Amino acid sequence: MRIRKLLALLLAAAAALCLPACGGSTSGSNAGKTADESKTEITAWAWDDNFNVKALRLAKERYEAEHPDVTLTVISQSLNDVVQKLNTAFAAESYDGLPNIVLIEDYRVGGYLDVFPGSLRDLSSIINADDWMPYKLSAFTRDGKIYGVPFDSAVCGMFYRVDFLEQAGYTGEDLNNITWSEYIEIGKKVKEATGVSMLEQTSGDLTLMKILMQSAGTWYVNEDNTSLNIAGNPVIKEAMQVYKDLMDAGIVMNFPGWDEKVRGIQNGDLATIVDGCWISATIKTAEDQSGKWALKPIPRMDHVEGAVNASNVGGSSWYVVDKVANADVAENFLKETFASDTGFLNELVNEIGLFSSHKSDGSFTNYEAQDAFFGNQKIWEDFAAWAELVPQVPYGINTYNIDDIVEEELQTVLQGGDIDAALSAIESRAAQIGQIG
Amino acid sequence: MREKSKIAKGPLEKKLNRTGWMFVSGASALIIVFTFYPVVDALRLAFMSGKGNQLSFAGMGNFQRMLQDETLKKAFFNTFLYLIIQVPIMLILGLIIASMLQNKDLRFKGLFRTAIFLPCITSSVAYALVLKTIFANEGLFNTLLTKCGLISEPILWLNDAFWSKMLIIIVITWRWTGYNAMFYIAGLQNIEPSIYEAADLDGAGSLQKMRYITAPLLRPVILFTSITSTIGTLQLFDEVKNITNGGPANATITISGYIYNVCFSYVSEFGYASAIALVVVIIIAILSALQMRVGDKE
Repeated sequence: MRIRKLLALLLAAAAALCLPACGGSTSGSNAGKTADESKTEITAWAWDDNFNVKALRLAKERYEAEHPDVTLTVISQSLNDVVQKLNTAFAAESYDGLPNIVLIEDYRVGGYLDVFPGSLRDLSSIINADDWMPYKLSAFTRDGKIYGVPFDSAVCGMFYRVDFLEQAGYTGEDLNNITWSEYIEIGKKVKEATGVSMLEQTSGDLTLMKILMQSAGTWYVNEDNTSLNIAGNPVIKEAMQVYKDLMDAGIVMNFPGWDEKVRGIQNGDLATIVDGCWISATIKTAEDQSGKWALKPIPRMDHVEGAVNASNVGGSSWYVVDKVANADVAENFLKETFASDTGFLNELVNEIGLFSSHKSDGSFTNYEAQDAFFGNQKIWEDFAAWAELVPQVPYGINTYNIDDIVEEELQTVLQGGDIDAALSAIESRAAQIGQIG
Repeated sequence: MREKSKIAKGPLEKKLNRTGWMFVSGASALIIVFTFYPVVDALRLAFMSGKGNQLSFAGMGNFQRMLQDETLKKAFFNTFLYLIIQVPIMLILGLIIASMLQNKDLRFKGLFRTAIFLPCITSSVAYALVLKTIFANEGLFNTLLTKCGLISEPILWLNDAFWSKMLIIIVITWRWTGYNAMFYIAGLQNIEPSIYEAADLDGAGSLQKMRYITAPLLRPVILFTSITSTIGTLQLFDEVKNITNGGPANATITISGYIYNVCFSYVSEFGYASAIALVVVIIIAILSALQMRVGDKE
């Protein structure tokens, strides 16, 4: 009896003690802990082991060799996890457990900058604005202050299967700087001659809409990053028309998700892929198609003034969480690697196929490499040239939220609904999204 | 007087009391901090609007916004569609399976029971991935149907607004039927076999036995399963998130899925999300009360 009672007491005490232990501070943060007294430890979060995380690990090697007193811990986790943790930690103003350095998508970072001012560190002092493409910097510039260090940029291109196009009677020159209506005509011929679809559409993915919008220098919001620019926007109107024309022409293959899309590319189901430059790595996984692919600029919108044959879709940048210990060390890490080391960025072109949006200043020798997979075309040189043309647009803070609304309304347009009405509907629905404060 | 009565307690009793309180205190403290406090705080949040931690009092603003929110309406429509179509199918199917498994002449009962129950203890992520492959445009299911000549074009299970909803219904039925069947099996085992024998003597068919014996005697169990299934469906999240991610174009999104998006996928709007959650709680309470009423009749 006695022992039992004692045990019970102990158990109860343990249960009661658990509470402060769980809720109590984990003294300092991940970043503050030091394995070795003399070493400063900083942490960084990124997703995608073959791309972002790999680049981070290479940067770590370089930096630690120069700074033996610093250890960088690289933590790989999914994009969704990163977003969810940042959302909750910033909202709770609980910075324990957050990393020093975090990778954030350009479409999303505006939300953090505007909703949680002060969370991310002003990095103006380590970034020379003249070195970078302005369209990239604008995503994380507020009141003239630059809050991020550019990582990858996704300049767009049109990858195409030379063999399919040839069967339909087209050469590469026929695809150079075309318009979307020309693209659709070619697509019909290709479908007729080869049975292959010209383009793909993945469920839940509005890549094309974003490519179209940026190619004509517009977005869901105006320059102030807040007021909506959807109803009556001629670019979005024509973008919807392009979607509809593509679908009506029957030249688009639908994929339910990313995996199916990759399989489709590898199967040779598509004659062209209009996407960001990083898709080249995916295309190259179809080794048996080597030499059959080539690259041209994306089509341009027909009736919109100022529309160009170049655009950007997505991309991410590095940020320093200001309130985590050792933020200075983290800032210095970015300063000496991604922010200024063009030799390193040039190396990453070969390592991961990085297009960094750093202006060409002669140090990017790897851009000149001929790629046998793309018929010895210097694809990076082309991308670098097109990047100069990409219009700068404000991403606002609700891109993904509005995307979902646009996707719904786009369905009504594809089923024959009126485009102007759809745009008004999108604008009034987007206007309901909560405002800051 | 009070003092006296306290003193009057024996030392042992007092000690026991203390032990008891210590036992409860840990668990209660945890429940208070991690359940009650968030519930109360969510109630407060439901009347706030704004992004992230920049919230301000909005009165009924969130609820007015809900009335105009087309995506939310879609989410409600989808959730209730799942509820109205899926729950009855699942419960009836569960009942049929349970009575089949109760058949005295059935061999390998254990095997069948396990097979029926297995889906609901499978990890939702794992089975979602498997089902996604089976129901892919060129997946096993479409290939089978095409080979059998039942369809000429593959059904776009994941790309089509109608079929993706059907897919979700199929998937959750597959997963939860066995779970409910287990309750019915337990209930059936409590029904006196002599009642069925008497019915046999009176010449009752199996349908009549189901209608006049099994169903009425199982009423409490049926009530329980229908309430838990209703609540479960209203909170449906993982299946949809993993299989269609709410798509195509929010055609399969559920209320919980939308709450998640508002909280974590978009720039966080905890106030609006709490308001939606509050409405869901009220709906669940009303539906449960209704079902209790209906179940308690007679």
